[in-house]
Amino acid sequence: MTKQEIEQKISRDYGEHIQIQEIDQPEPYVYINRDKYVEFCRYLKNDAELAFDFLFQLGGSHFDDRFEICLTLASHKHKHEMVLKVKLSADDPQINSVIDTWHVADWYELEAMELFGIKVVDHPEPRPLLLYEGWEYGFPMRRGWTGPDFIPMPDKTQSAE
Amino acid sequence: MSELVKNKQLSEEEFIINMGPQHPSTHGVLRLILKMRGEFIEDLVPDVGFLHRAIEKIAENRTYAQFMPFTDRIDYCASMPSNLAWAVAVEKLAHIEVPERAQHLRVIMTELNRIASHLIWLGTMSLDLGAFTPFLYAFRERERILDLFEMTCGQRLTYNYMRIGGVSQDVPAEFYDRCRSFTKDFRKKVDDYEAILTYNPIFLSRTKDIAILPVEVGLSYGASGPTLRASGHDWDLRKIHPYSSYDKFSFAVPIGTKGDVWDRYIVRIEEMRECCAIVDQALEGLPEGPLKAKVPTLFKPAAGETFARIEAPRGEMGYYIIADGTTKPYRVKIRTASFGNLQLLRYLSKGWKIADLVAIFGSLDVILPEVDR
Repeated sequence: MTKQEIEQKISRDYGEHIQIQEIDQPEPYVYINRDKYVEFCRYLKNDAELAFDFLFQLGGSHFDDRFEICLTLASHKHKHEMVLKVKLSADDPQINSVIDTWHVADWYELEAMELFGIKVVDHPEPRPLLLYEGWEYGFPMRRGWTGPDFIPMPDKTQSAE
Repeated sequence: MSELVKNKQLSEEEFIINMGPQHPSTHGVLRLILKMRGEFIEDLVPDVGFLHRAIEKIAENRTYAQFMPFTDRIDYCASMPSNLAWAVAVEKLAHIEVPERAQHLRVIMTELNRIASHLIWLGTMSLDLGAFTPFLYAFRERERILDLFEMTCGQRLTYNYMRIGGVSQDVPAEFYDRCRSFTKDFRKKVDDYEAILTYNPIFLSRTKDIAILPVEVGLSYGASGPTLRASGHDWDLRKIHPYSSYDKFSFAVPIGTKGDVWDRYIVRIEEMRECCAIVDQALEGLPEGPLKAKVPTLFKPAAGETFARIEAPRGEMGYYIIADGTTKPYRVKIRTASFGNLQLLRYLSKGWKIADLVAIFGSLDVILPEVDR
């Protein structure tokens, strides 16, 4: 399916819950409301025309006013791709797990939990993945994070301008 | 971490053993906590993160061009594809057209690096299974590839060869002959490896019908590359979503039938032969022209997002970039093949003996810096 076809199809089925992002990329970029997220993922995988059977990556990101979870999906059946995003609140980012839909989400969600502090509420085995046991310096991938022995990179790019 | 396995009630025959992080067959620093019943694996938890260097965080503090050397360190056995993935992603973000000569050079280097990476896998996996000779053979041939790289960009391991919009430098005059003679010799060398391993009864009994991976499970677990193709799934990004002029070359995509350890072995062996074919074609039709598109020194792509996927030796690799209109990326998410493939280990090794675990892990061709980043 082309970008337009995918956008039309999902707005027909989930119109009031999604926002399609205007972007000059060949794939559709779609925001889904948080409470429909798990259901929408299941729909994306199981719908015969969409069939997004491959989760390429899942990762968090931190903005001034919110967190986001971003999933890059691909269909091996129909050879199309899309980007799915969820906006989460800045003070209490919470999301449900999509392990049931794509098993690979397991470690990606663990990563988002420990690096961004995004709480995946029904993750079956929450545990630290990349950081060591006993890490107590917060969530290092958040913007503006500092730790006790953290020395920020000198900003050489400004002087080049 | 180990509580995961510990807290569960153990019966009299069950016990927990620890494997790694310093273990000859964990190919890096991977710790496995195994729940055993006699010699059989009941459950397994991989403990990763020993090589975590926060490369994604570093990316937020470096310009797009400055991040290129860091991509070398994501997968140090296959730096060229890591370079290429970053270059392709940034070019897609900023809509940069890459000159044809640079495209061809990228293909040559990436495919040579794919052979080098598969040779490391072949050497270490056969070493794990008790065959010492292929290890020496593989590293002998890999040396010739590293010589070609050294001749081109001065580096033998972390190349930093790709640039946004092209490549850093042209190949020297003697490269052509040395590369041609390498691909010519190498096809015969692959026959040598096969003569030692492929139908060796000991090797067969260690690999045939071990740890079969069905395609649907592989897809759900995010498996990609030779690991998934061994299960009979015809999926290669070089064919499906061609990047960097791969659509100009004719080559076959080897696929397996069953998805056992032996299939994952034979797919990589066949892939090395196909790499030679691609390198030959790319070298034959190497066009003249510039090596780099015109990219401003102070490179500032417009705010936006993108992702790019390429076929690295271990599977699909890619970057997701959020740009905010400054010289530095706002966020970079790195997707590596091993991150998906390693999650398979738990599924695949349940019910097999601990001796098979070494074969299964070897056949997945996981590299740990790529998992931890």
